[in-house]
Amino acid sequence: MGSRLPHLRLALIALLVTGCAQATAFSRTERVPRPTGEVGVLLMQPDIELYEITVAGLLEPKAEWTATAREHVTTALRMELRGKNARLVPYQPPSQNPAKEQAHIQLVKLHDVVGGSILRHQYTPALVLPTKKDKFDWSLGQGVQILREEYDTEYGLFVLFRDSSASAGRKAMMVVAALGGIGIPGGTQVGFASLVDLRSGEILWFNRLINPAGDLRTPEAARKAVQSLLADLPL
Amino acid sequence: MKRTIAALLCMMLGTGCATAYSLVEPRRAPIGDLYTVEPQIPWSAAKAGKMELWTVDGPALQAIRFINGLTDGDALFGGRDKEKRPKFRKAMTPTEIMEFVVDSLASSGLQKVEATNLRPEPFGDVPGFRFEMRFVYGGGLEGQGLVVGAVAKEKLYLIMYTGARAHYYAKHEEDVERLVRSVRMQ
Amino acid sequence: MSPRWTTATLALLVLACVACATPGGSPQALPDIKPGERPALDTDEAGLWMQMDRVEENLKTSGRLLADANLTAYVREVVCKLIGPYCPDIRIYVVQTPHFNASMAPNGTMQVWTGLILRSENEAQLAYVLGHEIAHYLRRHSVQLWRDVRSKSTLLVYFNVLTAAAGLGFVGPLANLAALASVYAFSRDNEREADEFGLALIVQAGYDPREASRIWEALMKERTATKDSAPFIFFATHPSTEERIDTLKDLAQKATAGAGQAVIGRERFLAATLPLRAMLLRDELRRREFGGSQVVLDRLLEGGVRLGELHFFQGELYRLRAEAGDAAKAVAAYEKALGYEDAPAETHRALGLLFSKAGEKVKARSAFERYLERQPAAEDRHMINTYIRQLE
Repeated sequence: MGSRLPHLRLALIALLVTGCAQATAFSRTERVPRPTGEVGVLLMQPDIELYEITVAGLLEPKAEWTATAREHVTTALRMELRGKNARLVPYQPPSQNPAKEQAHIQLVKLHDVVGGSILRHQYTPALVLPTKKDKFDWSLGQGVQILREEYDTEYGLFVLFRDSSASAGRKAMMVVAALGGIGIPGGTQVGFASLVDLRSGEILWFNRLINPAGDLRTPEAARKAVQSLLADLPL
Repeated sequence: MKRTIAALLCMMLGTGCATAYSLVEPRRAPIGDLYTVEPQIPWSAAKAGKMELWTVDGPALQAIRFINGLTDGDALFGGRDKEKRPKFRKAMTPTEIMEFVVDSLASSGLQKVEATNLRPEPFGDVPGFRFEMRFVYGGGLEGQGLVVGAVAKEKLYLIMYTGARAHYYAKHEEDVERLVRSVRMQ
Repeated sequence: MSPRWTTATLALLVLACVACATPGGSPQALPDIKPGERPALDTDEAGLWMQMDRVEENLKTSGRLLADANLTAYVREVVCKLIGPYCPDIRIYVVQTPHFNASMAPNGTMQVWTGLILRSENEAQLAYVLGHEIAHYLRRHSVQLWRDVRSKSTLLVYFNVLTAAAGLGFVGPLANLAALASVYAFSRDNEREADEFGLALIVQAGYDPREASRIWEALMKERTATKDSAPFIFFATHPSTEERIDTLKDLAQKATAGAGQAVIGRERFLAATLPLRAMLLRDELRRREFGGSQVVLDRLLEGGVRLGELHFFQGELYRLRAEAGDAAKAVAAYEKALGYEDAPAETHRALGLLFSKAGEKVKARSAFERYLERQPAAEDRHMINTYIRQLE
C-alpha cells in the first residue's frame, strides 16, 4: 500500500471490518494544563491517501482525490485550531541540509512506530500491555529538540487519514449482493491524530477515528472529519 | 501463528478477550529451566516456544528476548521455512553464535545488521559472552541491541535486548544491565 | 427470498458481464511514454504514480539502500547510456538484498538489487537486464498490467457473487486459474517485447548483444541448483527462460552481423563493483541457499579475479553448510585462499575455529595468532585471545 505506517496494516485491516463510527481518544491521565493565550502548533505533513474500491474489492489509489483531500484537510485543520486559539505552522523538511533531514526523518519514523504501538497495545484488547494499562505515558523523547530548533512552537500535531469509497460498479454489486443476502463492506474512513509536547517529547493526546460514512473530497466533509478527529484536543 | 489468529479474531469480534501479555512483577522469577532473574521494574511478558519476550512500550520500540535452551538444529525464532534459516549447532563457539544471531536477524526483516565487540563474560556461573549490535528496523527506524549468553549442557541460552536508538533503547538499558547482573543458576 | 438462477441464465449473465467488465474488450496497447511526461491527475495512471511516489519516498528512507554513492552513480551512467532523452526522468535506487531483481515503476523509479550486481559478469550483461526494465517503462507495461488485472478481477468477482447467490457455493479457484492464466500470458507477451526492445537498446548503445543470453543461462543454472523456486522473485512474472535464451541468441546473431567493436565493459564493471563484492557474498551466504550460491561462486571463480577472496568464501560456504565432510573441504578452501595475496584476515580466524574443533590445538592457536597479527584492532580480539588461552 505504500503506507508510511507499514506495520499498522494488520491493525488497519481489522479496524476496517467494524461497522459504526467511533472515535476513542487517550490522553495523559494527569490533567493537561490548558494553555492560556495563543499557542503555536507545528503541523507535521498530513499522511493522507484516498482510494476507490473497485468491484473486485481492489483498492485503487486516486491521485486527484488525494490531492484535493490534502488541501481540504489542511484548511479544516487550520480553521479548527484557530477556533482553539492555536496558530498552525506547517512543517517543511529541511531539504537543504541532508544530515538534519535524516535526523528529522528518524523522528517522524519514531512517531510512526510509537503510533503503531499505541494502536496495537492501548486500543486492541487482545494486545494490551499490562505496563500500559490504565495509563497513557508515551513519548518521543528529547529528540524533539531538533524540531524546537527550527520552529518556535510548543506543540506538534501529527494527522493521518485513509479513506476509501465504493465505485459505481461496486455500489451496483452491493445491491446485487444484498438481493442475494450477502453483505459486502463499502468504504471506510480511518483517521489518527496525536499531539506532542515539543518541550518534553511527551505525547499529550492521541485519537483514533473510524467512520464508515466519511469523505474527504469536499470542504464540508473534510471539516466534519477533522472536527470529529480533534473533538477533545486539549488546547 | 495460532496466537496471532486468536488475537485477530479477538480484535474483530470485540470484547471478552484476554490479552496476550502478562504482567511480570519486580521480584525474582525463573526464566526457562536454567536460571532466575530479578527485575527491578514491572514488564509485560509474552511466551512463544523457547522464547520469552518482555517489553514496557511494545516490541517495536524495545524488547528483551530470552532464548531458552536452543538445541542442535534449532533456528533462533522458530518459523515456517526452517530449512532456509540459520541453525544453532551444539559445538558452536561464541564467534559462530554471534554469526548465527546476526544472520538470523538479517533474514527476519532487520536490515544492515552489524555486531561488534564480542568478548567473554560470565553468564551466571557459566562462562559466556557478550556483544553489541546496530541495525535498522523494517520501516527504516534505527535500532541497537546487546546480547549476552552461554552454551550450557549443549543448549544455547541468550538474553537479547533491542530497541529504537531514539529514546527507547536507552529508556530501559540500565534496567536490563541490572537484570543481566542478577542472573543466578536455578 | 433469494432469486433462483438456472445455469443458462448464469452463463448469459457472466458473458454479458465480460463486456461491461472489460471496457474496450481485449487489452489495448498504450501509446509509449514521452520524455518528461506525467499523467493528468484524474487518470488511473496518476493513481498508480501516486502510489509509486509513496513507495519511492519510503524506499529512500527505508534503510534498505546500499550506502555506496560510486556504485549508484555507475548504474545511473549505464542507464543513461541506454535511455538517452529520458535520463532526467529516472531515479536509480540500489537496494541491498541478495536476490536477483531489477524493476522500473511507471513514475521513473528504477530499483536494482545487489543480487543482480553479484550475478553480472560485465557491463553489457548488467546493461541488458536494465534495458529490459527500461523497455517495460517506455512501453507502459505496468499500467497495462494493472488495467488488465483490474478488469479480470472484476469478471471473477461477478462470477463468484452470482454463483454464491445461486447456492452453487464458491467456484472461485477454477475461475481464478483461468483468469490468472490469461493475465499471466499478457505479462509473457510484455516480457517478450521487453526482451527484444532491451536487446535493441543495448545494441544501439554499442554493447555486445551476445552477453544477453549468458546472464539468463547462468540464472537458469542457478535455479536448477536451488532446492525450491520461491527465492526467484524475478521469475514470478517472467516467462520460461529456455525460450528466451534461444530467442535472444537468435536476435543477437542478427544484430552482430556487420557490427563493429562491441563493448563488453568488464574492466569498468569490476572497478565499480569489486570493492563491494565481499559484502555481497556475505549477504548471499546469509540466504543459506548453498546450491544456488555454489553456482554463483563457481562463475566468479571462473572469472579469476581476486581469487584469495573467492576461495575464502568457498571455505565459508562449506563451513556454513556443515554437511558430512564439509569441515575438511572448508579447511582445504581456506588454505588455498592463503596462497593468494588478497586472502582476507578472517581466513585465519576461520581456520582457527575449524582446527580447534578438530582437536588440532597447535594449528588452531597459530591460526588465531596470525589473525590477530593481521588485525590487531579486530572487533572480536578479546574473544580470540580467550580461544588462544583455552588452547594452551
